[in-house]
Amino acid sequence: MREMHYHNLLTTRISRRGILAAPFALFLVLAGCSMVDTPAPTPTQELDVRNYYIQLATPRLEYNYTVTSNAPFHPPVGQLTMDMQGVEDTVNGIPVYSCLWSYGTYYGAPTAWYYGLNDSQAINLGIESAGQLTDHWVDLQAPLSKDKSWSFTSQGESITASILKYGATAQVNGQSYSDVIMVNYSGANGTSGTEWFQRGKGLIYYNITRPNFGTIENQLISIVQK
Amino acid sequence: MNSDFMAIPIEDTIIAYLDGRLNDAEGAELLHRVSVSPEIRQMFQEHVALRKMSFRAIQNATIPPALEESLFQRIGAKDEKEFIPIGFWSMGRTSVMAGVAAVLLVLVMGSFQYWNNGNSNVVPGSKEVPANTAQISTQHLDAEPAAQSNVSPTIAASSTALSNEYRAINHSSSGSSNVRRHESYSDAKNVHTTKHTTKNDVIASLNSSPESTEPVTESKIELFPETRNVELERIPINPGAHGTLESLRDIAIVDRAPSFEIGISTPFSGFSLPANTPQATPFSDVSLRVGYNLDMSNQLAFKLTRGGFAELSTITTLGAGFTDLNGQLTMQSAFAGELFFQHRELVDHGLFFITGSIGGGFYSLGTLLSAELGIQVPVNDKLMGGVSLVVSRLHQNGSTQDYLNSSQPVIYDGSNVHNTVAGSIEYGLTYSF
Repeated sequence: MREMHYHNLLTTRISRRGILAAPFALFLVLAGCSMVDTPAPTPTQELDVRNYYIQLATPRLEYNYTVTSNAPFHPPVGQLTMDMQGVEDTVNGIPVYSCLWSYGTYYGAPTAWYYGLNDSQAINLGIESAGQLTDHWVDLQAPLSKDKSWSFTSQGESITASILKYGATAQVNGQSYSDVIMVNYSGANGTSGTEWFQRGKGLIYYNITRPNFGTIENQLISIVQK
Repeated sequence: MNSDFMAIPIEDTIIAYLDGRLNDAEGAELLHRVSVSPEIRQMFQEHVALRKMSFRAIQNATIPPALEESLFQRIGAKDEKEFIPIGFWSMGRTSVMAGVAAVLLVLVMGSFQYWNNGNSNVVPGSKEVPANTAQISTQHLDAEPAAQSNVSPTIAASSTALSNEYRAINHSSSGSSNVRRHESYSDAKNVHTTKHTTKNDVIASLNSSPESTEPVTESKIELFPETRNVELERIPINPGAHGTLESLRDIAIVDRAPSFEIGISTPFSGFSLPANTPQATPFSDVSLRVGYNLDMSNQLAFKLTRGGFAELSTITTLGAGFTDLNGQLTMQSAFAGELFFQHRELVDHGLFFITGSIGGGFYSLGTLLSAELGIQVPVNDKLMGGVSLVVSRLHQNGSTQDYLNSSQPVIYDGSNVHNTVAGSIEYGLTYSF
């Protein structure tokens, strides 16, 4: 009889503990659900810059941008289309890709722009003129993480690039982008500006001012596979 | 003299008498022995006092530690298997403050009761008088008639125990050779008729007893039919029997659930998620709680908190053609109101409680859900101290998208989490009324 009493008492206590634990467990579930709606965290650093750069290796992929400019050879307001052509060559072990830039029919035939791209660097090489590439603008350099910086020389000007934001959120041309890095460029001769890159897509915003040339701003409109 | 009666230890007989298990003859015999033996009378008075204090424990009484110790040691020695309801009182014994408070309380209430009954011509205190003028003070036997008070029928029934204690003295007044049942014994409504018995009758009976070999000292037996409208209707009344220790325990437990509680608490330390969420500093928050007890174990409560809450705010910088926003979680002083349900589980017969609660509400910036797990320790029957782990999930209204609405490009750096979790260890006091 006494054993039965203890058994009943124990059973009662277990069930009461269950009652106590139930609200707490429910809360943990709710709290856990609240964490589910949190985006996956951005890695602390990215070792492959291609994950944040325009998809040069995908032929016929078109990036469409708005253009606002006061620089020569650029429409004050217009649209830029970049048509990926794939890999063209290899220079110093770095694959060189090309894409065709066009500002619409008003500005004539598309112009081929060249890029050097591997896992450690994404370099805008400009156009080919007299057998030479006109620029060496290092858009990205691994590793990518907040406050990382690198230096390069573009058209004779020493430029320092630094990542001001990493894993940020952006709104460009009415569209929201997550996991964005913001790179700030500052040149010894007065060049300044910023470029924003989103993981998986590439350049979404460009605003660079160069002395004696002007300012060019591009905002990503769309990416279309032709 | 009943030989069987003699064979039973006197304390068993006293307990049996107070339990109503003695017949009239046995009761009369006991009372006679009470009247002639100071030792037995002392023991009898202690048991009567214990019964009284047990009933009054539902109000605010605490048994003096010495008396409690003495009686329970003897009872415990008699039957180690018997359960003694000292769960809550044990705290009083182990707490110096509670002990001091109890002594002061007894002294204050004792003096209050004494002076309220000061119309007696008995000199206060206990003093020895010559045998031929020996008196037993009956000033406290002048119980208020149940029928004239607000005592409910069930309370009147429970007061039968008290009237039987009163009967004990009346038996003495009749002498062992002339045992008779007073008419008021069987009906609590007639308790007032016992007021016709004077202390002189009792004294005369004691002095006329052939077995009275020593002077009877004056002493007090305090019997108070209490008229509190508490939940005494839940006392398991066994017709024809008096309240037992078990039933008294039930009284104490049932009546330890006052309808309302108020509480105050403050956090001591805590944590937060995400890790960069600022935390409230210790003792920076204050929560006031008002609760309504649904029953002994369950409570609905409203908690108002004044303290710091993590708020997502931005610092704006205008760039060349774009807007740069830096989001920061900063502590903002705010109010929160929560409605929650609490379940309280008695542990070790009232030594402490385990509490669990869950609730939700609003704060200045959004909504929150909270869960709490803790313990509460009674300081006395109205005040409890406690410590608990409180975990809250806070959802701030709005979203990151709100910051991005602009006609020009915007880049936002900072937490995109509007849901944060804050945990803290809180200390609190709860007062029941």
